[in-house]
Amino acid sequence: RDYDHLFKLVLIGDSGAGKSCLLLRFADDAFTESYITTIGVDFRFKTIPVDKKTIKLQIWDTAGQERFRTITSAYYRGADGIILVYDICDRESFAHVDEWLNEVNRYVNESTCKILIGNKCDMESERQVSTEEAKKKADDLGIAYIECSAKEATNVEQAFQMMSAELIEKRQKQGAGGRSGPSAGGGVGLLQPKNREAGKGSCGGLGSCGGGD
Amino acid sequence: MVEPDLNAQEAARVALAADCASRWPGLLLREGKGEKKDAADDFTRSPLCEADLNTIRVDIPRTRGADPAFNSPRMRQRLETLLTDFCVEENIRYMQGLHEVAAVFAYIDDVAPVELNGPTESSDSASHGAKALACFIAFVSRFIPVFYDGEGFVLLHISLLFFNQLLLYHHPDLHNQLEQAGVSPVIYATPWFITLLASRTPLHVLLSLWDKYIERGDSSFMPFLAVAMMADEKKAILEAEEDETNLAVDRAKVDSLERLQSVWTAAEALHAKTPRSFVVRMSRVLSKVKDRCRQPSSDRPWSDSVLARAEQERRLVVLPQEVVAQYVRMKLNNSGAKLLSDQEALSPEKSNEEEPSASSSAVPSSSLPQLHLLLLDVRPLEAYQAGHLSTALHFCPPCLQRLAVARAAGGQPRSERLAAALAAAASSMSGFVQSQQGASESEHVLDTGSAADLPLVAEIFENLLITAAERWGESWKSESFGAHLVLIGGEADWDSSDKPCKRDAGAAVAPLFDLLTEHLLLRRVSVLLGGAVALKAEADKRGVELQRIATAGPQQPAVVAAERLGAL
Repeated sequence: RDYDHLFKLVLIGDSGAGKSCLLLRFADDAFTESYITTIGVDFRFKTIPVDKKTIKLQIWDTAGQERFRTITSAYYRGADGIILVYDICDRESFAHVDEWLNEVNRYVNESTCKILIGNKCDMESERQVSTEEAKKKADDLGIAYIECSAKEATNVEQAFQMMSAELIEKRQKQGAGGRSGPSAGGGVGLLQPKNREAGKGSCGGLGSCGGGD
Repeated sequence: MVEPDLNAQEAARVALAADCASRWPGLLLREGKGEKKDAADDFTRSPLCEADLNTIRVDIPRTRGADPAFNSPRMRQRLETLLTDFCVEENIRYMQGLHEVAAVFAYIDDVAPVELNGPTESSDSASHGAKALACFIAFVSRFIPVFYDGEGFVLLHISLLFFNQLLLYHHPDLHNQLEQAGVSPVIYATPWFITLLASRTPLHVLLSLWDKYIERGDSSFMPFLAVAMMADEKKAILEAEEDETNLAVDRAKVDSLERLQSVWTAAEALHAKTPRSFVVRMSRVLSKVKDRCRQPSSDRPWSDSVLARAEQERRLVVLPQEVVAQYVRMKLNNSGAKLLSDQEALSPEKSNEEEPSASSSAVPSSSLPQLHLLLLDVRPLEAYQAGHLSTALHFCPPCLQRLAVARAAGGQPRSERLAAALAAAASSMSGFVQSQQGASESEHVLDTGSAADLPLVAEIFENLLITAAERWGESWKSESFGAHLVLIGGEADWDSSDKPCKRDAGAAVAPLFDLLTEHLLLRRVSVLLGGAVALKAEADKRGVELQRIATAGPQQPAVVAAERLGAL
């Protein structure tokens, strides 16, 4: 195979925060103001070099509308990293960060890598959430924070680099024995996540959620 | 692209839209088809909440945003009006995906107002858009029940479940590989079912697609289209690396008129090769659940239990009515004798078109697809001898009984797959069994502990081949024969006809089904709903006599013996 590590990343956050645009920028280096609404989930692959290693990222871009949360959970399976996106010009989307984290923590391992992205930092004049406030929030939550602009390609590559580096480190810590590449196999039912509610936060050893613990 | 080409394309699209506009109201708003609303609805009707309004505003510029036709303020206004009116009128919350559906009606109203509204109304601004809204509502309520779901996506999950059954029925290799790669329908087929393929289908193709769909008027056709789309990409999906399977599936789409034509034709062919029971059952279940969802009191525990139960049902189910009807038809063809049959039991929607009592004749309706149903009765011998359809083949060798016991005791997960040992045996069967998906697949699943089962599986398989060939001839498994294998279970398999079949000790249907579809990748395997008990009831109702075989030796009458059979 032509990569050293394969990671599954999942983009979550409110509708309109710019998840799909971040992904479009990262994967195709493109931007459009009127990108399509994600219904359910979209995927992209991108292979990037990180610390002399070749990393293949499988990125899942999810629907943001609250109603979709019940099925979005099916997309978290086997995720190595979660990218939580909010819009710095929309306080509401920032206020929902806790909810998103609670939601995601029901399905993934607590130790799964997470990162908070404040998108649209090119629109300084319409900013509703200060960098300091967001930084503090991220610190409290114990996750990394970065501000990006999908439109102006600010920090987008860096955000994915940051996450990948952290994931590599994590995987290496787990030793050479750790498997790389998600094998999200197993009997997958439509309701898989629901069934797992009982074993909160446990990955059941199915995927490579951080390579198993 | 050159300017004139674009103009020509747009002109063709407008012409197509005008054609749709002139016929859709007639097809969608036919008298009596529209649901009547209670007057009480007017009181419960409430405006959209702020969150929904915001989401609509975010979605509007993202609705076919790359298409110039959708960039005008006028079009965006149309969309917003359609969406908000829809939600208020239908008293539901806005759900993303609805905007993709609304776009089609907004477009038609925009480019073909006269065709849609008729010449008289065109300039009346007050009533403008009323026809588009009515068509939009009628379309969604008939063809996309998912939007009437509460919060739980029950209808979506059930639709996907039926789709998955259909995929397993016709393409077990594809189904199994996707399952193994962890790519479930909710991941790739959600936008297909939520938007009836509106999402990511070019508008001119979509207009054509919906036109066919509306003309066909069958709300249960979507799963057939979805399976046909998957089959179109089958080779690429099967060849994809496991971690890229979802990307390969993502390429299944209807992106040109040519592709639409081939997918549609394939879907019709699948429809003709599928037991009618599938459509009947899906329509019934969806309409029941839809009614339930619309009741304000419906709560989560209910939907959870529905889903938990639905989850068990991976097997395509055939209703006793269909088995008996096919049996009757076969007998009629053979002997010309008159037997009663009731086609109504198998019509998917009660208000089934205006067929002037074609069903009053005793012959099964010609609309019931003629299928080669091969009935495989897996009950213990005594129960079989006590009564069965004369065409049913008994198959309950000791090795199958052992498997039934082993599976029940161990609760083995079904995801176990074929080992290399069986690949050779399976690929030696032509047609009916699909070519084995390479040894690579079996390598990494061999460690699941199913290896111990393998000799047993091989034994059952050999037994089946011999038994079946004796009765049905060697050709039963050939693709040209196109047999449909229906498994008939007994009391050990079924509590009541409503429940999915059991995996208790002695229950042979579930393990045999898994063996046939997972290990042997046999196509067109189904399970008779309710098993032999339901079949007997239906046969009695239709005046069809079951065959009895007197047991050899000085034993009690077979009926008594059958009653005593519980465990093996």
